Amino acid sequence: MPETRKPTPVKAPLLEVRDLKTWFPIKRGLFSITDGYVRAVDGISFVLDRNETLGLVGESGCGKTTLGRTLLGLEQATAGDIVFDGVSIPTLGRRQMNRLRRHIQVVFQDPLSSLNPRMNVMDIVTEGLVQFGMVEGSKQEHAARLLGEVGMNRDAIYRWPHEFSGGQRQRISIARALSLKPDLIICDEAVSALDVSVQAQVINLFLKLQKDHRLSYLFISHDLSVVSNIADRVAVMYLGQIVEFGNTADIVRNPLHPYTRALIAAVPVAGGKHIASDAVRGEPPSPASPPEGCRFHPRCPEVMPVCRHTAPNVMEKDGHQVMCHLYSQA
Amino acid sequence: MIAPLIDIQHLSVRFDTDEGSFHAVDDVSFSIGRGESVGLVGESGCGKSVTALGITRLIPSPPGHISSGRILFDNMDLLLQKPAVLRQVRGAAISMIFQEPLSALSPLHRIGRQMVEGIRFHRDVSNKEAWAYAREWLSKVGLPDAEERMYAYPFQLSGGMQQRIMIAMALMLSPSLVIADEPTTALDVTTQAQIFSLIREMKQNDTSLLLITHDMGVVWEMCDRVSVMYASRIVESGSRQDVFNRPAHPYTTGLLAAIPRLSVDKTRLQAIPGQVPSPFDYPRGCHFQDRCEHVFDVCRENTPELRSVGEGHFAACFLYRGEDARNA
Ligand SMILES: Nc1ncnc2c1ncn2[C@@H]1O[C@H](COP(=O)(O)OP(=O)(O)OP(=O)(O)O)[C@@H](O)[C@H]1O
Ligand SMILES: Nc1ncnc2c1ncn2[C@@H]1O[C@H](COP(=O)(O)OP(=O)(O)OP(=O)(O)O)[C@@H](O)[C@H]1O
Ligand SMILES: [Mg+2]
Ligand SMILES: [Mg+2]
Repeated sequence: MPETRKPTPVKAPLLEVRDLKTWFPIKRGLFSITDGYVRAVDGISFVLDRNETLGLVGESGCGKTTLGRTLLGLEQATAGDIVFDGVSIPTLGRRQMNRLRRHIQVVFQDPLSSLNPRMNVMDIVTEGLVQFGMVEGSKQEHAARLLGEVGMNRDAIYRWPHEFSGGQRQRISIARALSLKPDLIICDEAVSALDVSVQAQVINLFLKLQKDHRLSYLFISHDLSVVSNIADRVAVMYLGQIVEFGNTADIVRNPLHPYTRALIAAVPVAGGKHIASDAVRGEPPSPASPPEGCRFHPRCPEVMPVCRHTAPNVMEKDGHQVMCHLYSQA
Repeated sequence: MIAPLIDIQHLSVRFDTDEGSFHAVDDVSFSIGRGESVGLVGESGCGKSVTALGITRLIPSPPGHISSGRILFDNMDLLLQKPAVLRQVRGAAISMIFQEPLSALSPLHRIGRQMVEGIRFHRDVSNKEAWAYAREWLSKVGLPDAEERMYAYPFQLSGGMQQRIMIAMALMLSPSLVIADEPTTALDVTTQAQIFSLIREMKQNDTSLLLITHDMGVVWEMCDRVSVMYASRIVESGSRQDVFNRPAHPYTTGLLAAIPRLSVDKTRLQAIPGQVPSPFDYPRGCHFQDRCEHVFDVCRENTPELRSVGEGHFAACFLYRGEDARNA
C-alpha cells in the first residue's frame, strides 16, 4: 500500500509493487460497449524481500488472485509498477517474461485447469526443467524426487491429471513450481485442498526450502491459521486495497482494522465455540462501484460519520500499518 | 429406530487403469438421518470424493466402477436405478457441490443460463421465474452485483465466487440430501460463516448433509457425526465430540495433532510421519500399519473391522480388540 512506508533495505528488495491497479472492463449490450470497470486491484503497494514470506488474506473476490496474476504478467496492469529483481514487469515482452518464469513460479488456485490434461505427471512436473535445459540424469528420477517431496508416490509419474484427487493435483502443481528452484513462488490457495497432515508436510517443506535457498513466497490463503504459521508479514485485503499490513505477530495479537478483527473472530476452531454467522454484516460491496469514504464503512461495526465520506489514509506505528479512521485522531 | 435418509452399505469402487487396478473405496458403510449432518474427513486421496461420486452414480466409467454395495435412499437402491431416474434424483433430491467448481460449470455458458437450465430441468416454471429465482440465490450466497453476475462466464469470477455459484445451484432446489465436497476451500471465514448459516437453515427443514472437508474446525462447526477415512476405508466414526475429544484410531489422533492453529511466528507443523501407501499396493491387513506406532503382528495379517469402542463410537483397530484377537 502505502507511500508512507519507508523501507531501509541494505540491498534492493526482490519484489516491489507500486500503486498497482488492475481493472477489468465491464462490457454490455450488443456492441460490447465498455460500461465501467471491475476494480479488482485498486492501488496496492508493498515490498517483498528475499527470504521473506508475505501472507495475503481477504474476502472472497477482493482481488487476491488478480494481484497474483498481474505480478506474473498474466493480466495487464492498468496502472502502477511491479519491479522484480530490478526489472519492471509491465514493460516486458513475452519472450523476456518467459525467461523470467524460471525465477517466478506459481501454484494456481484451481489445479485442475492449470494442469495440461494431455501431459502425464512426469512431463508436467519436469516441463520447466526441460524448457530451461536443467535436466541432469533421467526425467523419471527428477519427477520421482519432486513428487516424493510433496508426499506422493513415484508410481504417479505415468498417470494423467484427471486420475488424481483434488489434493493430489494440488501437490502435482506444487512439485512443478518447486522444480526450478525459483526466487519467488506465488501460492494461491496452494494448500487449501490438502488434509491437515499433508498440509503440515507441505508447509514444512516450504519452510525448509526457504531456509536452504532463500526463497520468497507470496502466500495467498483464506486460512489465517495456515498463514500465521508460514508468513513473516501479513497483508489484509478488502475490495482491491490493502487495509492492514504488519508482522504476523502484530496482526494475530493486535489486529487493528475492524475487518481484520472480524476475520480472526470467524476462524472456526475444533472444540471451540460456534461462530456467529454475522461476523461481517451486510452485503458485500460491488467492486465496480466501491462505497465512498472507507470501503468497509457500510459493514463496519465501528463506523463513524467521517468514514462515510472520507477515505482513510494509512497510519503507521512500528511497521504496523492500518487504513482506518479509528486511528487517525491519535 | 426410524430409517435413515440414506444408508450406504459395503460400498466398494474399483478403478482399472493402464497402470493397474485398485480399490479407491473399500467396503465403506455409513448412514445419514433426516436433518443430520455427517462429516467425512481423511488423508488426501483416501477416497472421499470417489465415495461421493459413488452415491450420486457419477463415477467416470471406464476406468471406474462400483464393484459392490447397496445405497438405500428413501427406500430405493440407487445402484439399481436407470439413468433417467438417477437424473431426476440428482439435483432435486440429492445435490452435490463439487470439489473443483470449474469442473462442474460449463466454461462456454453464462452463469445465469446454466442456473436457469438446472431449475427448469426439475421444475415446471417459466424462463423468467427461473431467472428471478436463480438471481435471488446468488444474493443469498453473498455475491455482490447478482444481476450483473448472471451474465458472467465462469472465468470472470473469482475462485470463491465460482464456489458459491456451485453452492447456490446445489441448494436452490431444496434437496433432501446435500453432498458438499470441500465446499468452502476458497472462501474467507466470514463468507464461510454466511454459507454455513444458510445450510443450517436448511437443516431445520430436515435437509441432510454429507460434508467432505479437511478443515477440522468446519467439521466441528457443522457436523453431528464424523467418519474418518484412511486409504480407501473408514477407520473411525462417532459423534463429533467422541471423535475430537476421544479419538480412538491412531490415524485420527495424528490428524487432530496436525491441525494448524493461529500462531505468532513461523513454526514447523506436526505431520504424521511417513507417507500413505500407493493404492496400487495397499498392504495386506490394516492400511495404516507402516505409520502406526502401536502396530502388532496381526495388523499386517488381518483387516480390522469397525467395532464399537463406546456408545455410537466405532474404530477399526486391533488396539481395542484385546490380547486374544491380537494373537489370533
Ligand atoms: N478418474 C480416476 N481414474 C483413476 N484413479 C482415480 C480417478 N479418480 C480418483 N482416482 C484415485 O482414487 C483415489 C481416491 O480419490 P478421491 O478423489 O476420492 O480422493 P479424496 O479423498 O477426495 O482426496 P482429496 O482430499 O485430495 O480430494 C486416489 O488415489 C485417486 O488417485
Ligand atoms: N477475467 C476477468 N474478467 C472480469 N472480471 C474478473 C476477471 N477475473 C477476475 N475478475 C473480477 O475481479 C474481482 C477479483 O477477483 P479475484 O479472482 O482476484 O478475487 P480473489 O480475491 O482471488 O477471490 P477468491 O478468494 O474468491 O479466489 C472479482 O470481482 C472478479 O469477478
Ligand atoms: Mg482467488
Ligand atoms: Mg476429493
